[in-house]
Amino acid sequence: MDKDPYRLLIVDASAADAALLATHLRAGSLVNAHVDHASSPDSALDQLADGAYDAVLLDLTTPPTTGPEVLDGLLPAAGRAAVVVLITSDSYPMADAALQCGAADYLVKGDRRTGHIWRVVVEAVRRRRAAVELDAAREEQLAEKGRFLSHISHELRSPLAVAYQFGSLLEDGIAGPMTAEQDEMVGVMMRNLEQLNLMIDDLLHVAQAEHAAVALDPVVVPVSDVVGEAVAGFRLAAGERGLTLTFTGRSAPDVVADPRRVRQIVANLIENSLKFTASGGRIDVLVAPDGDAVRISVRDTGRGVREADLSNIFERFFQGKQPDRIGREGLGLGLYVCRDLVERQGGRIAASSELGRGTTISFTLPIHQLAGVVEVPA
Amino acid sequence: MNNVNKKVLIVDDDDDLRRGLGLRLVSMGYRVVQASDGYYAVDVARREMPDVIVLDLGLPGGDGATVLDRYANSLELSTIPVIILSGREPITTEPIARQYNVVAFLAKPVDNGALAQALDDAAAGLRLSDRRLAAAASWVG
Repeated sequence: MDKDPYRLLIVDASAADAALLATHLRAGSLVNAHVDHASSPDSALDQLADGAYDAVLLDLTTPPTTGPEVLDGLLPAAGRAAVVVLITSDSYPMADAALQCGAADYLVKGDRRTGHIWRVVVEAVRRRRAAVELDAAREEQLAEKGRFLSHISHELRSPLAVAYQFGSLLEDGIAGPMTAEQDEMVGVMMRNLEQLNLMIDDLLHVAQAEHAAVALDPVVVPVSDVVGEAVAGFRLAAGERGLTLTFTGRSAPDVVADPRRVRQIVANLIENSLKFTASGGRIDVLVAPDGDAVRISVRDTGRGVREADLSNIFERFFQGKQPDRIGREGLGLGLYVCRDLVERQGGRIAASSELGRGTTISFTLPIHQLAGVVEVPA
Repeated sequence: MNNVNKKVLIVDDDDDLRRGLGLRLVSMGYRVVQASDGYYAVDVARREMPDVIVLDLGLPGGDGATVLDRYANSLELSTIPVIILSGREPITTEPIARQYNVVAFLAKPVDNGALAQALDDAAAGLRLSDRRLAAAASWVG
């Protein structure tokens, strides 16, 4: 049994009922119980804000606190406290609904079994404390995993940076001229180093996303320019693969977003299209206003995605069954990262596809609304 | 651009990286000096008085932030532009970069075009914040 006195808050419009319950609680306790009373949910919220309670005993039978709806406002405020609801003997369905909403247990008003009342409260507090500790442990575990992934990602970058630099020295002929065959081999090496680097980016992003450390720097962005820049970065790669890459949409309104992240999303989507579109195909990037948002679409004439897979492509580590895909599997994180970045910036992402015909992935970003514009009378 | 006689100090504890980056900079016409830890980062800088310093952040003998502090507190070194080249994320490094005479934050593995641009910015006396402002202005235009 705990040595510290339990701090309990009874929320009941009837002062007489609350006093009776308090008497039972004090009589049945093997430790001191400190019992407070609130006559309404509003004053309960004030009291919960002021003090740390172990349990809240909430009457659901007397107006204005009837029905389990009142739990919606009270449960978040209860924090670490267990919430036990008080019902009448003919309202068990209400107890059931309250338990579904997150109440720890229930007591029937008028029950005079002192020991039972105390046991219900003690058990509810014990379970609540265990749940709070478990949540904290989970949180810490997640943070630890994030730190580990982050550390690994950084450590991997050092040797990658060296390999990349020496590869580019060869590629640029700084160590002397290369034969066509050597040039082609170094090209393969560099492409794979780039892929490895993108995988590390994705890993790092997921590590940060899970403990909400993704840095976003939203500003007013001329989205057409930013998307256009991202597209321009792929002209060469598309040409090398025999693909036509187009960009349409020079006059979309400004959006509020992090330009670096917008480039990252567009680059991720184009890379995906490059992977899944055979030579002779096309990738079209469009930017167009869509209500109070701007829609950015990347449409390809690639292999397409099976209908059964379409709803899963934004899930973490998802990889569709694509035996004839071009290139090799990634980590299955690219589209997951895209969705995360779009949603963090107040947008939505969606995919449509027809097997063998191509895939379109489009996302929205909210338009920048001019704030504080005041019309001056003539 | 004329980089002849311009001197770059590379500070990184990875011997291979210093060598690779050194070859790249020499091919661009720079003269290169090197330091492998936080202590030599200051010592070599004082001795060689480079035009630009390319600085890693994860260093033995005083990490990159400490080295930046030492540069900032030295009358002779505080005006030398620094390019940060790190495997760490911008989330932790940009606030640091803004405090000092930092021209660019570059992530490893470095894009050689971005490195050349940062070296040009350093020669033109642009700081990170100026460059960001310039980028914003070009968007508006």
